Parts: sequence; C-alpha cells; structure tokens
Amino acid sequence: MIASALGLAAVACLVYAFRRSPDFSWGPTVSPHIAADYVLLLGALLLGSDFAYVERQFGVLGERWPYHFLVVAAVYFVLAYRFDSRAVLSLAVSAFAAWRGVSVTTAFGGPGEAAFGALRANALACGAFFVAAGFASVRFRRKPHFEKVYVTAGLLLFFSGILSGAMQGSRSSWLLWEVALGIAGAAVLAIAWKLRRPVDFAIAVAALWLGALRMTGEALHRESFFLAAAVWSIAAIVVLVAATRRMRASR
Amino acid sequence: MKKAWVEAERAAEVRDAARDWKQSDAIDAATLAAIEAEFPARRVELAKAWKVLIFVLVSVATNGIQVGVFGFQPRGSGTYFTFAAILVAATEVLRGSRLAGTGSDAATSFWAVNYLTLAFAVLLEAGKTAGAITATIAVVAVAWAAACWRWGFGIYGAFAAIAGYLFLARFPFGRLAWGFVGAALCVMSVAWTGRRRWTSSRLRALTGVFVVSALALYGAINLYFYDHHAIEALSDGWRSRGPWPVRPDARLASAIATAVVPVVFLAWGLRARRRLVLDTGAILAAFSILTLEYYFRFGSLEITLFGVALIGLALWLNRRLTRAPGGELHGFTASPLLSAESETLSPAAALAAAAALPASPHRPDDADFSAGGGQYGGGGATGTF
Repeated sequence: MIASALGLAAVACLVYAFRRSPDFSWGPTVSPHIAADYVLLLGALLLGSDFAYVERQFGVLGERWPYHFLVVAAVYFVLAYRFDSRAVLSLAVSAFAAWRGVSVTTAFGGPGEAAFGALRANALACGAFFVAAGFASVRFRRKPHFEKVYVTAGLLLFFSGILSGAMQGSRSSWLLWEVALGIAGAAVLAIAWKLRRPVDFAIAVAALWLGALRMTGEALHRESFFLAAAVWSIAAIVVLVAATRRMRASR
Repeated sequence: MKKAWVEAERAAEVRDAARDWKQSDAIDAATLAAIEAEFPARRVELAKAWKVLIFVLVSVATNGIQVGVFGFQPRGSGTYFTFAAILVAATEVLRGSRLAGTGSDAATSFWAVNYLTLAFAVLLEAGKTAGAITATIAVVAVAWAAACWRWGFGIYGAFAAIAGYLFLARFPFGRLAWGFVGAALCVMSVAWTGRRRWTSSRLRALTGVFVVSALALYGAINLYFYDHHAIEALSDGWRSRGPWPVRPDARLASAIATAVVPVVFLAWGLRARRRLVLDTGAILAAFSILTLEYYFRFGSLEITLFGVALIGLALWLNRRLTRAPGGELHGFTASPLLSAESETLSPAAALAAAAALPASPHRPDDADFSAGGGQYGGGGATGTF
C-alpha cells in the first residue's frame, strides 16, 4: 500500500513535470515554470524512496541489495538528461557513488583495513570517471552545461580518496599519498587557474591545506602544531583571495 | 555600524540583486553593466562556498594562534579576555577592509564572542554555581546582540534571541516570559522589518529574532512541552523543587493553544502577505501535527496519505494561481520574482533596492529603465547613483 502510494505520487509528479517540460535537446533548455523543476525533483526523490522501501520490505535483490542504488542512479541519469536538470544529475552522481561505496563495504562485511583500501580505490575511480564524463560532455557537446556538476563531484571524490590515504597512521604508506596529493593538487591548481575556474581551484586549495596539516602533524606536536596550522590556514586564505581577484580581473 | 560599512553593504546588495535580475532576463547586459558601474564593488566578492571555506580557514587560524601562543590551559580569564579583545580589533579592521563579507570577518567576530563568553565563564566560575550560569547566559545574550548591532551579521540576532530565552528560562516565571516576550517580539520584529532606513543585515537579524521568538512562544504553549516541563527543566534549581504540578485546566488550554497558534500565524501571514510569517506558521503546524501524533499515534498509512494530500494541495494551488487572470489571485502569485538563485526576490535585496531607489509615486512616462542617476540612503548612509 505504502509502496503503491509512493509510486503513484512519484508518477504523478513526473507526469506533471513531463507535460510542462520543453522537448529534449542536447543543449540547455529553458524551464517554463519553477514549479515544474521542484515537482521533478520531488518526483525523483519519491521514486528513490519507493525503490528503497520496496527493497527494504521485500528484499527483491536479496544479497545484491546495493544494486538498487545503481538502478536509482540509472533512473536519475535518464531523468536528468530528459528534463535537463542539474539538481537531478547531482542526485544521480551521488546515487552512483553510494552504489560503489555500499557495495564495497558490504562485500568486505563491514568497515576494516581492506575495505578502506577498496573504498579508496573506488572513490578514485569514480572521481576520475566523473571528471572524464565532464570532459566528454563538453568535447561531444552533449549537455555541456552538465560539465560543472560532473567535474566538481569528480574532484571532491578524487581528493577524498587521496586524502583518506594520506590521513592513515604513521606506519602506513601515508607519505606516498601525500606525494600523490601534491602532484594532483598542483595539476588541478594549474588547470583551474588557466581555465579560470574558481570552484575547482578552491577544492584543490582545501585538499592541499588538509594534506599540509597532516604532514605538519607528523613533525610538530601540541602548541607548535597549532601555530603551524594557523600559518597554513593564513597562507591558504591569501592564495584564495589573491587568486579570486586575479581571476576576476582577467575575465 | 559605520557609515562606510552600511554603504558597502548596500552597494553589494544592489549588485547582487542586479545580477539576479540579469539572470532572470529582467534587465539586459547593458543595464547590468550600468548598475555595476554606478555601484562599484567595494569588497572582494566571493561565492558562498568560498566564504564557508574561508570561515573554516580563519577559524582554524584563530584557534591555532590561541592555543599556540597561550597554550592549552591558560591561567585565569585574563588570557581569554585579551584574545577576545584582539579578535574584536581584528573584526573592526576586517569589516572596514575589502575583505569584509568574505567569511574572514564573520569568523573573527564569531570567535571573539565565544572567547568573551569563555572569559566570563572562567571569571564567574560558571561551573560551580547556578547564579554564575545565569549571569554567563546573560553575558552571551548581550554579547551576540552587541556583535549583531555593531557588525551587522544577521544570524547573531537569532543567537542573541536564543540566549535571551535561555536566560528567561532560568527563572520560575520562564514559561510565562517565553509566551509574552515571544509574542511581543514576533509582532515588533515584523513591524520593524518595514523600516526602510534599516540596513539589510539588521533586517535579516530581525528575521532571525522573529523565527526564534515564534518558536519560543510555541514552546511556551505546546502541550508536549507542558507535559514534559521542557522549559522548567532549564530553570535554576528546578530538580530541588520536587514534582512539577500539572493542572488539568492549564493542560486543556495548552492543548487548544497547540492547535490554534499555528493557525493564527498562517492567517497572519496570508492576511499580511508575509512569506516569513506564512512559512513559520507552516513549521509550527508541522510541530502541532507531530504533537498530535505523539498523543494519538497515527499509522504510517495515514502519514503517507497526509503527505500525498499536501502535495495535491500544493499542485492545486499552483494550478489556480497559474491560471488566474494575470497570474495573480488576491495578491498571490506562483510566478518567480526575479531572483535566479532562489527564484524569489530576496527580501533583503528588495529592501536594499527599495532604499537605493528614489520614491516614485507616479509611473514614469518612459517605462524603459536607464541608469540616469538618483539617490539612496538610510541606516546612516547616503549616496548617489
């Protein structure tokens, strides 16, 4: 009954949005009314809730239950492209990443050293995949305005993966991850600077700042560490503010 | 607030509003350029995500310096007073600089108030006596209110109001005070939001005070809060007074008020065309339904059907408003009001723009806008464009 009610509400919302949406186009389309955008989002969320409810109550996929995230992601991708909705695309990207994360954790029977390693690898792969999807969107002119959603999500996942390696204990290979963070961070900074992309620039600065704090924590302790953290923070602020002004001035 | 800060804030509000109008195609690129030329950026303009990042960075830097210089366990309250004074000075400098509004001044002011609170708590030995706790809460309320008034961070108005209600709750008449003060501040804050000479940051502070006061008023009359003595539990030495008496007549009055107060807010919002009041009424109505659910326990089916009914009501209302002549019904419209970000005209931007433009009782002959000049002022600031 509940599943049917949720499903009916979701379908009603999607039909409402469909009737008010412009025809499909690979370029950006103009929404006729704000209500249609919100109703579409509501419909997508209700649909996701319905899938989750059905899976939880009836166990349709059994032990492969994490695949329901993939199903939700696929439906969201279709909706995002059909209705030209970046909000729904964000949901699709999140559902896809959740599928990988939950699948890995379930496969290893819960959190642990091996699970963290696999999780990290998946985060890095997902991040790279999303960034590639962003480039492909622009390169092949298939919803090029979706590129920012893909690249931002990709960079966040990619740097999260590297940082999780760098944040490991002192006996691990954390230093190698720090080196990787330095290289990846410098590359993203350079590209973001050249392309005048402040959001990507800020993500890289934040990641490098966290990496610098981790490295400092290995060398300094107590009060001296806090002073060093203050210095790193001020340095990051100076870089961010100066970069913004230069990027704005050169536009 | 200093005159120059008010002018900079107004210029930023007008620039933001103009960009929203451009994004909504209400004005063209030339008009946007003209407005931006007349209101040049006096501050570094950053996206919200950057402001949050800079707030975090400055917070880490601030606390890092505090621990690095003064150590983990400074002796006495003097250290905290000194550090709070340094942060107050830093905020004053930042508010007057191009870095105002980047998140850096918000962070220094936020930690200034927190370290001042900590200093008073240490000085009064707040952990030892109930009176010291009450005095510290009073200091917190005054500090947030002063910070809000001086530096113009709207959210600090809400913080001050929260601390103020916690202070009132310390006394035996706490529930009564929440009811009366809450109702009075609700009415006053809504009335004051119509003042054009107030800066938009202070109007935002009034919004925060209104929401907190509405919640305080509702907390004073809500049946669940009455039955569970939620306000009395915050008072000084309430456990030593023995069992709290529950009077049947007061309980009945509380039950009726739980149902009536949200309706009053909704009716007020509809009648006054104030979305803030309407939204607050909707939130209070949701709390009343939760209260009802606590006492009568609905099934999941009823809750689902209720949610579906609300969705249906929203769609029906949207349909009626969209199909009404001119897209308007009794002063309500479903049309987006020129803001690309929120799809509604931000009240702060509207008021800033209203304050920036000269009063125009008659429709001008030429309906097309051109940036020909004018005057703006209010909140101690004047200027021309």
